[in-house]
Amino acid sequence: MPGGKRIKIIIDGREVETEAGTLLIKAAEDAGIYIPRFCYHEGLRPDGNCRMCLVEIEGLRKPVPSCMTPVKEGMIVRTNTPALQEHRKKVLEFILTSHPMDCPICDQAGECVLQDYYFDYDLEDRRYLEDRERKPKRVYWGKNLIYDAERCILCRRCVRFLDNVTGTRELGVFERGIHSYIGLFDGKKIENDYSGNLVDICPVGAITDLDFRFKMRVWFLDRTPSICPFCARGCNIEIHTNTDRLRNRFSSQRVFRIKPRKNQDVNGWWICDEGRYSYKFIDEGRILHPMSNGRKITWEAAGKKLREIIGNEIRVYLSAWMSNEELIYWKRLADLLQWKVSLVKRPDGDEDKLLRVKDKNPNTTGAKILGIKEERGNEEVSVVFHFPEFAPEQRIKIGIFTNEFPDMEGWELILPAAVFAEKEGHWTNFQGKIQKFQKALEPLGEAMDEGRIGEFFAGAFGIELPWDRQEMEREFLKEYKKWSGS
Amino acid sequence: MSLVITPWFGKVSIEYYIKAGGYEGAKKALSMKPEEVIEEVKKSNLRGRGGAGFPTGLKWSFVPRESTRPKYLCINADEGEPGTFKDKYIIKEAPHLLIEGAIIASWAVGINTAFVYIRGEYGKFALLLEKAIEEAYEKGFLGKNIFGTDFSLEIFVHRGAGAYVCGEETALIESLEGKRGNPRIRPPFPATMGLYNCPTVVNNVETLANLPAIIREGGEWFASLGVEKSGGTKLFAVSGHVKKPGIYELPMGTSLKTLIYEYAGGIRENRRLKGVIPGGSSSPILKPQEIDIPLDYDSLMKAGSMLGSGAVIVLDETTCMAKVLQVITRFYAHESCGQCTPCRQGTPWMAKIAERIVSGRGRKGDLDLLVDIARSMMGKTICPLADAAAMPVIAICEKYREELEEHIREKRCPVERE
Repeated sequence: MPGGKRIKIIIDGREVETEAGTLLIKAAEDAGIYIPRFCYHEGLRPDGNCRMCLVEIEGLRKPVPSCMTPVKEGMIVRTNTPALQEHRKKVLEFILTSHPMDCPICDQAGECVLQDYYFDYDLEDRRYLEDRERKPKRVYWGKNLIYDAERCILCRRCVRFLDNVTGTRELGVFERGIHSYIGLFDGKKIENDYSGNLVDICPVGAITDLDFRFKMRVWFLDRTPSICPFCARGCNIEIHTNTDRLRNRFSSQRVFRIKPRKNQDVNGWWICDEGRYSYKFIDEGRILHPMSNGRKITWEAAGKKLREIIGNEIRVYLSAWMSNEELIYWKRLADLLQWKVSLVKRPDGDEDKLLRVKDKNPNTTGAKILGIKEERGNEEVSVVFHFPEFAPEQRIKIGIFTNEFPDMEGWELILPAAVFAEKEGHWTNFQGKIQKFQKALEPLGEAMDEGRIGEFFAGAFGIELPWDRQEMEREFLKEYKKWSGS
Repeated sequence: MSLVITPWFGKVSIEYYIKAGGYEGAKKALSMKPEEVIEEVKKSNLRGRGGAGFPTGLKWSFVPRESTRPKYLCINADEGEPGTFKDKYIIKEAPHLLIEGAIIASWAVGINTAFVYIRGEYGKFALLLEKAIEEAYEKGFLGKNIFGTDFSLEIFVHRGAGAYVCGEETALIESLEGKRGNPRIRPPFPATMGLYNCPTVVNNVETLANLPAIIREGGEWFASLGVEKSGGTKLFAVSGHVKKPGIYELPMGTSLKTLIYEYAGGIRENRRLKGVIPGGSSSPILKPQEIDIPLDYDSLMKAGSMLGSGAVIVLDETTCMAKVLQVITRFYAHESCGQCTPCRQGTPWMAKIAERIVSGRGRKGDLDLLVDIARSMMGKTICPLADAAAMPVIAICEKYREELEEHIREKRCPVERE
């Protein structure tokens, strides 16, 4: 509850200032005191079922779940007494009476809360020597998900996500007590547009991702902060990659998964399935070198081709997938060369109340700030970024593309561009937030980012306009300030 | 001896019930101010008969007098605690006692809608109750303008589907709402946020059945029947190895020994007593030397047990304590709703150990492990089911340790020898 009254409480002898009504577990975390939890998730309504986050509050007879307890002025809280340490061990021991010890083949290994907590809080020998409860394994839950009821610790985060966040309610708890499992309601499958988030919020390996399962140990993944390009919201993501030839048995796959990165102002904790599963274009079907009429050529030959078009009327179709920096650079270049400038972008698509917006491009706002409009012309020569379908027919077509497409033969010149994961830059989302994406990978083949390709154009046309991304970032900010009036 | 409930047994039809003076309490209550009714119930020292023994008048007074939302009465007829069968008798023998009590409680708290949550196994008693409710409607004792006043009350009978945990008041509410019967975290308490998030009173059948007499004869009279902090009489459901099992109504504070040996006729076949579970399966067992104890909430609490629902289970010397342990732990493992980790995982763990001991596969250290598991569950869960499962285990393991150890060591039962 932002804007609430500031109050003071004592946690483990430290005075902590927080907002009235904040849940204790969150207030403690904000103050740097971590209370272990399985069922609590900041983005979901608390449920208090796992009992891991119990704390002691002075004046109360029994420990209480910190995830269900709002702070009150003067509250005196203890999170780490010997009794609580003992209790946590017991909760872990209880969970492990049912949990299979299949960590070596579990996708969650390495990012499993149960593993981490056992290491942090328990380290005791096993006392449970009875038979383990057998439950359904490898249950198909829908396009992206596989459920293992034996690994499930019944925290019900998934049930609550589908209730609190998507409202689609595909899952419920079935049976009772030790026989409980999470199941699909009759006739349902999880086919909603946010299903992949269930994999992220599952604290253990009970829900695994059909797309990622068994492909890579998570500790061999490099994680790069980035922004999702698939709509104008610009959800904050992490790109998980592996390019270690000794570890990676998939010769052409570098990106293994996309994960959401928390940003309360933009996407909260979630991303949509389109953003999560559309990464394949980064590694597949890429244009790896300059091409002319469908045939591979050298950059030198490409430069020659460019010089041939000098003197023609030229229009450049910049794309709403280019970064702020690239857009402003190219706009300057076009101005110097007296080219006309237009904008091309993916057509509008579905939107919903959660994250997805109609505009399926990451930087329409950036282009708008620079006054680049969606116009079509009929000049002799068209230089088209990213979207070949926008080129006027029967003219000389020069393209800067990332991925192969049919009819590449009809193009006088195609230059290979780096994808967003192969460069750094900024996009301006539909809220007007400038967000940075970082370079996760080297460009494939001879591909270059659009700034360097711009420099190549400038060179071919005999102009001095060096590509300096940081300089362009500053230049864009000036325009941004004018636009936003700050 | 003045009795409150059992004298009405047999007066099933409304005509007989009225002839014996039935519904006079409700009429009188409606002529009083609601606050006066609550005051009278407070004076009576009536404590909740479901098992927790919370003072009824106090419980009512937590419900806000003024409420923009409707208030509800939930009548707990789920009676799931093993050994308990008192509410069944009230519904079967004197259903109007319950209806009259419901009218009084509803008037006192300002409620116009009541639900009877009756366990599914009591199918034919639910039909009986529905018939009695119909009779009351016909007489104008339920529905609009009860006894010609402007007070209205509707009563609905709702059948449970066989879950012990639905006898816990918040699980009962969830189940009534049509959801899975999982207990809720408190606070908020039902008194402020109960059924459909409205202020709600949940009262046990026997609790309500005491109300007509309290209003007719006065709270002080009722209090005087019992002991200091436990007013009135109590229905005891005696089962097990006694000569005359059944329902006995006795004043609070009567000795357990008297109940067993005088009323229930003593131990069958003149065998020796081995132990008594005094208040339903979750109450810690008492050994023979501990049974000279007044039956009231505080005395049993002091003795480390509970009056609970008043279900007295008597065990004679032929009883194998490992089996008792097995039966009890298996029950709670079966009935745990599965929400809280300690209860969901702990109850079946204990049941599996008990099962092993019974079948001669016990291990050294099993008893210590059982007690440790039980202690790890207590006070750590949303509802008291974990405590209910843990308490008897601790008591049995501690009080019958030698026998259980022998059972483990010899790998066979030391009691039930051929």
